[in-house]
Amino acid sequence: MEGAATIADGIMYISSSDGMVYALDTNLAGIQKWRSERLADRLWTGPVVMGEAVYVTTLDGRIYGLSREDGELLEWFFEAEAGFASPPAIYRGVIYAGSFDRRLYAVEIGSNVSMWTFPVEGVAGSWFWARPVVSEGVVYAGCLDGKLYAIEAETGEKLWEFDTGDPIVASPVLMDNSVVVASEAGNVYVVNLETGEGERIRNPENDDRPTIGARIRASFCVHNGLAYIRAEDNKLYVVDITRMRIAEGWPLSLAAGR
Amino acid sequence: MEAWNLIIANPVLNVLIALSHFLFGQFGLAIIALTIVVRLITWPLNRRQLQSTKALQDMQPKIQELQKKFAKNQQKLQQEMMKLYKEAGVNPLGCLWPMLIQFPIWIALYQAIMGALATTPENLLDLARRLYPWDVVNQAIPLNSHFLWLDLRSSGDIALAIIVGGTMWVQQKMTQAPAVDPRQESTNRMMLLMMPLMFGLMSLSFPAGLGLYWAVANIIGIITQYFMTGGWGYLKLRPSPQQAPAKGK
Repeated sequence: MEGAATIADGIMYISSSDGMVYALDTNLAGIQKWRSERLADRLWTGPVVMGEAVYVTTLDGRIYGLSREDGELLEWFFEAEAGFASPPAIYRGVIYAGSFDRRLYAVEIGSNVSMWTFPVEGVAGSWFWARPVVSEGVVYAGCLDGKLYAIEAETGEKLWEFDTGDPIVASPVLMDNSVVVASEAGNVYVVNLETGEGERIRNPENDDRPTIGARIRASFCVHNGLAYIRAEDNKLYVVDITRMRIAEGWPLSLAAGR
Repeated sequence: MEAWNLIIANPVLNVLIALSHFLFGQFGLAIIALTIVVRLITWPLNRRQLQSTKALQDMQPKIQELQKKFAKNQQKLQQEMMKLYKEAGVNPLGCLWPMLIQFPIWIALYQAIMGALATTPENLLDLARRLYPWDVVNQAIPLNSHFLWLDLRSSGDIALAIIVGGTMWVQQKMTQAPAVDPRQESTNRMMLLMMPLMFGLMSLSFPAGLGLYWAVANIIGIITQYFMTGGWGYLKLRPSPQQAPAKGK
């Protein structure tokens, strides 16, 4: 299984390397509710749910919709010129996903052409790998070129960009009037939604070192002002966003037997 | 390591991916195209070797004459043979130099195949940092790992191993001049078997993409040899008659 799972109404939807999407009933110990037909050679991005459908992007450049009830393919699908690198995000009937051609696509469900692609002219420095987040009409998309872009959801116009200096692999997370973004090098930033100005959370032991002394590739979550981040050293870090520091008593090793 | 990536590994990787974009998205065809490019680059060395082989074949009547004349004196025969080789500018050792020069290419190709044909999302992520900012490269991702019956990422294809070993044997046999010294002849026979066997076994262990490169390189070698030397060379020629043992041995 690859990519994050999505849970809606007790059903977990997850993509698999065999190219299929599975629906598992979490109320019945994960019993398989349905399995889609093979959508691609392999599926590496997690699906997203909206209404009565599940949407998934594929490495060969398609966006498919599946019925939540039985996994049947919907009539509509979208085809891009290059493969999709990121899982999709949906906002007001529009799917946002990053592609290997170094663009972010906005595709209205049911349409065969994209609403817009970002950048409007040219391409970004690298792939949009992380799932974008959308709120209040703005798309926040992290890119492997190290920049977090804020993009007007309707038009694709860039509002601001924040440069972390390192690839952004994990999806950014919204918190209050900020967006928390982590770079692959292990730095965690808090960026103001309005202005795009950000501040790095410093390493308590050494200011010159990254916030966390390990690579960050997995997406993380924020709850009650705390960001829970699993790093590549197999430890769980907790970063206090409001106090701009690593919470005391962490990290916790996730290695078996420890 | 950084220097290796900068000068050899990353260029090979990006050229391969760009080639597959132009060759109908077929990574296998890109490997074949790269093989042709590498053979073109090493052509001056290969050409000299082929000319040497041709000269050796043309010398066969003289060699047989010497063998008859010094049948009972191995030492004298060897001296005269070496003199003859030297006068003709021939190196009877075979095509080792072009092979040695290709070693860095094999290593870079192995790394390129493993890098480009990402088997996990993490591999794909690592690939991102090695790609040049060319549209033709980024638009080609992800690559199609299937070519003919092969999965270019996987190892263990027996048919491919047989093709690699077999073509290498033919190519070597075409160029390997018979040695006068029985010990040298014995060594040559061993190498004639060992090298194809070794490469055949290696192609079982390495990704099929690398085996494909070796097979195509061998086939190109056979074809160029055939036309440069005017035939199948020592593959067709009869082996030299057994030498009579020297007196006292």
